Amino acid sequence: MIKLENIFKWYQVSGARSFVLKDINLHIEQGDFVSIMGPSGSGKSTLLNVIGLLDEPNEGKYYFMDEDVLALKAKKRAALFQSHMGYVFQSYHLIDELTVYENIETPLIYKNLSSKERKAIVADMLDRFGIVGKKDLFPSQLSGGQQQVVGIARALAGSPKLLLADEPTGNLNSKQGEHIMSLFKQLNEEGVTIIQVTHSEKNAEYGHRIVNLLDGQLKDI
Amino acid sequence: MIRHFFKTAIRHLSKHKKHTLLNVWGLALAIACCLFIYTFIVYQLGFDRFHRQSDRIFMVVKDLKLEQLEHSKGGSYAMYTAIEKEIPQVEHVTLYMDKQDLTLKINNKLFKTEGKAAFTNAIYFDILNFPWLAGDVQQLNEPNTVALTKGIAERYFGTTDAIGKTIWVESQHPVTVVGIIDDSRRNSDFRSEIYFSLASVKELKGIKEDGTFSNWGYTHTSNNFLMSLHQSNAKPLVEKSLHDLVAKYWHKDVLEYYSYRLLGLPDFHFDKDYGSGTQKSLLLILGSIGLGILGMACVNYINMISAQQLYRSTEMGIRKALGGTKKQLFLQFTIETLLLSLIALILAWLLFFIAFDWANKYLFLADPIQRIPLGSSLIISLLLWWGIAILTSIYPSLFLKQLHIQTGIKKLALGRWHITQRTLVVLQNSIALLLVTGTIVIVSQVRYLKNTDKGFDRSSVLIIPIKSEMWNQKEKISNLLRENPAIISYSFCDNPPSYDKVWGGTVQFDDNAEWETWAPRFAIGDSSYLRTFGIHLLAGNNFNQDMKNPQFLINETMLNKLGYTHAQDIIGKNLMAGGLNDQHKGKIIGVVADFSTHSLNEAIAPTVLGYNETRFKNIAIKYAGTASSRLLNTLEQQWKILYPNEVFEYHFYDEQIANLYKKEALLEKLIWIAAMLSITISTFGFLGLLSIIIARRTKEIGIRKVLGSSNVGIFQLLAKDFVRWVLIAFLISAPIAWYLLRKWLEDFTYHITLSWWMFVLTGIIGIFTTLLTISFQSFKAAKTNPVNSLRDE
Repeated sequence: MIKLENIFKWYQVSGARSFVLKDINLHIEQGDFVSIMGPSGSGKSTLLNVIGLLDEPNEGKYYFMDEDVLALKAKKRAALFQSHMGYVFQSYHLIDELTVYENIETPLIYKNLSSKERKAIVADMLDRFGIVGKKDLFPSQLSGGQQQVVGIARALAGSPKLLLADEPTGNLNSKQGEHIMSLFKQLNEEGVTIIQVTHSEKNAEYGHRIVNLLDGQLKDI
Repeated sequence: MIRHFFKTAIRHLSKHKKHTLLNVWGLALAIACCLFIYTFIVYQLGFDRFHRQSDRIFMVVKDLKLEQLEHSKGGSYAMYTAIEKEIPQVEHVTLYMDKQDLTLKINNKLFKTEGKAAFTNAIYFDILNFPWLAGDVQQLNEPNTVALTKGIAERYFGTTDAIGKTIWVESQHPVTVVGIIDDSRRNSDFRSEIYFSLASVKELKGIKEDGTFSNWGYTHTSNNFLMSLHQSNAKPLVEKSLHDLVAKYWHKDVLEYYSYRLLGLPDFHFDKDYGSGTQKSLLLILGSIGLGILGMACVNYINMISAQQLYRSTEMGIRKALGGTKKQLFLQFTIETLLLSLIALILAWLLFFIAFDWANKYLFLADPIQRIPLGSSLIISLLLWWGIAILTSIYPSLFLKQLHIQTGIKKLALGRWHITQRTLVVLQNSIALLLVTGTIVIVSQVRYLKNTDKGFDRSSVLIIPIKSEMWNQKEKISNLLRENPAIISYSFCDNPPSYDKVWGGTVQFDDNAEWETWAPRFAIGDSSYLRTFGIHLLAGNNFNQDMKNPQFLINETMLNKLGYTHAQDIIGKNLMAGGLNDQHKGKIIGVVADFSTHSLNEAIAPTVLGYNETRFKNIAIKYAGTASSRLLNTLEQQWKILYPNEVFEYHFYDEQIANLYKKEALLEKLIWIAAMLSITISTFGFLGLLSIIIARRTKEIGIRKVLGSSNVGIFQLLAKDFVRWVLIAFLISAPIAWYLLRKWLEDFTYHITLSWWMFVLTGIIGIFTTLLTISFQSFKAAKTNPVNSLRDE
């Protein structure tokens, strides 16, 4: 599903290149559950962002479902993103002015779905994640764990094939974290490909495969 | 989708209530200001343009060719009848004698017409569009008839149903009301409230059979000839025919001095020479001020949005990560802007209505402006609304273009916006400070005009206007005034110094064969004139009151104009003053110090002082100290006994002089309001910006406090930027203000000089209001406990 070839990413710092990603080669199959691990500043999030089309590498090739993503035009890339990817953030990033229901609905609106379709999908999501009773609450009225559940529901609303999660449990206590991880596991079993960035060995264990990153380079896959 | 955007927009606006309020109020004030100025400009530009064939309506004006051209309007009755009969290109012509002062008696109550009366005939209503609500226009061709406007009928009779009722003119002549006229159109310079039939002018004004109706030389400025031509391009032909008529019926020599022109009626309002001289530049200034203020409010809005980027960038980043396209995000911003400016627009209309009524009550007093039709105000509102929305959407769209999801989400998207922002803030404050300096200078100049007496003393003088038929009691009045201990001096006179209407005429000096080619002004009064108005006699003696052996005083300018430097040399010379005393040659027996006969908008002219009792129109009374109200009471009692059929009317001389500067005073008030508005709006801007700056620097403030900074130190930290902005704005505005105001002042014959304190005061006002504005919030921020601000999420 995903094929990264010789990906480089650097910043120009006072004349010298400071590499964030260095010659990354990575292959991820459909249905996989990959955990990216590594110390702070090793380039985990950047790698995730490159995969999630939120960031561009300076060099290298990226094939997503056999499509040369980096050669695509911005519009096409956005369409690809919209239809295939969901993003979960460490600090949830729900929109404060919107209710739980509306937060989940937002990506569907951007996809130009009709209100009837949206209603059905959002209802399904609320039901699936057990948050029907919270649909009219605003993010500030929820606990961190609950917010992250909404964040995941929102990411999945567009029924993506790939779910990207950047430290999804980083701001949660261990019990909430476990709940989120078991949710991920379940989703993966249902067929969603998942790539997560994490610090925690325990969370990484939920995945099928661990990718270790150090100073922007992959270590023995 | 749109519904979703609306919902988000409303929630967003209500979440940031403070910013929304500041933005809405700022925009509303600016829009209201624009609506008001627009209404004012449309009203002024629309003067006499609403008549059916306004492009074919003209009036006759004339130039007297002396050393300088002397412009005037009006003519003689004889000329009017000749035009009517002998110029075929003229479709209609009427004589409209306006600004008539008569005393009317209605149901035993006395009313003064206060210049709102006129004499004319039915043709007037063919030419000008003032529809009759009741009555037959043709009846105004009959003698002893009158037509009233709706407003005046209500005032006089308490009802508009006044047809057939009787008005007693000067308590002697009964006239019948034959028509009620619609007065909803007010922007005309040729409009009266009370129209007496021209056929009764002789009887009502008590004109003796002395040539008023037949002599071509009996011209008067209030004898307006209004005419409509069959074709507007016949104008030069009609002008030529006028000259022919003058040569044929009057004298061909007259044409050596006079030339006649037709002035388009709509041009009258802005014509400086013949007309009411409304300055188009005033409209231009107002228009620029309106746009400037609107610009300031937009700057506020843009600044607030750009500063909100701190919060918005995260939101926008998330929305992008959720698949929102730039177009969709932009639409969201636009809807938010449209919504906010719509609220502002509605509020602006409310403010406008309030301001409009207020202005007509207190600002424009004598000539209230009228509302523009709803249709065009809706169009202008729509234009303003969309204009603001587009203008204020430019920034967010730029911001969206630059926004990277990554940096957005991480709240790093502060970018370079603060450079633009700083420029905008400085620009905005420059406009505000420009207006402040403008206000200081204009107020000073108008004060100067109103309060400077050139060569005379205005204090403690009352002016009582007197009609010619009241002079038969002159001796009795004299006795009353002489016996009153509160009166220091009194003078029967025509024009006091600094008056709006001043006579003049050419003179024949020292038995020269030729008359001079320039016309001095006349100050006509009795021998107490000098004492009453405090005019200094430099040499010679005061003049006598003998019309058969006239004696004249001249001023220094006249002395020099005649080629003399020493007053003694000219005393005793002969002088024939045409118009002052046409029968007898007189002698110059003294020279007075220069004093202004006009407003200070004109330089002091050569002036002759002399006695001519047929010209007297006023009694000027110099009274002692502050006893005016008791004196007035006494005078009114005595007046009623002498003239039971007259209203006792009086003016304080200083107020009468202030009235000469109505246009300048209006500008003074308008610029005052504009300056206040602009300061308010820039204050709003500062308040909004400050709250965002504080939000952004909360952590920094906390750290600085932990490191030992005092509250005052924090305040200084926050205030520094604002003070710097104001100072830069001041440096920008000062030279522009200096240049513009110097140009403005140059148009005045007598003006103040720009001085440093006006600019320093502007700076102080700017800095003071800024510090005042930011002090409360800044101190609050400074006093926050750093424990709270440094606590992480």
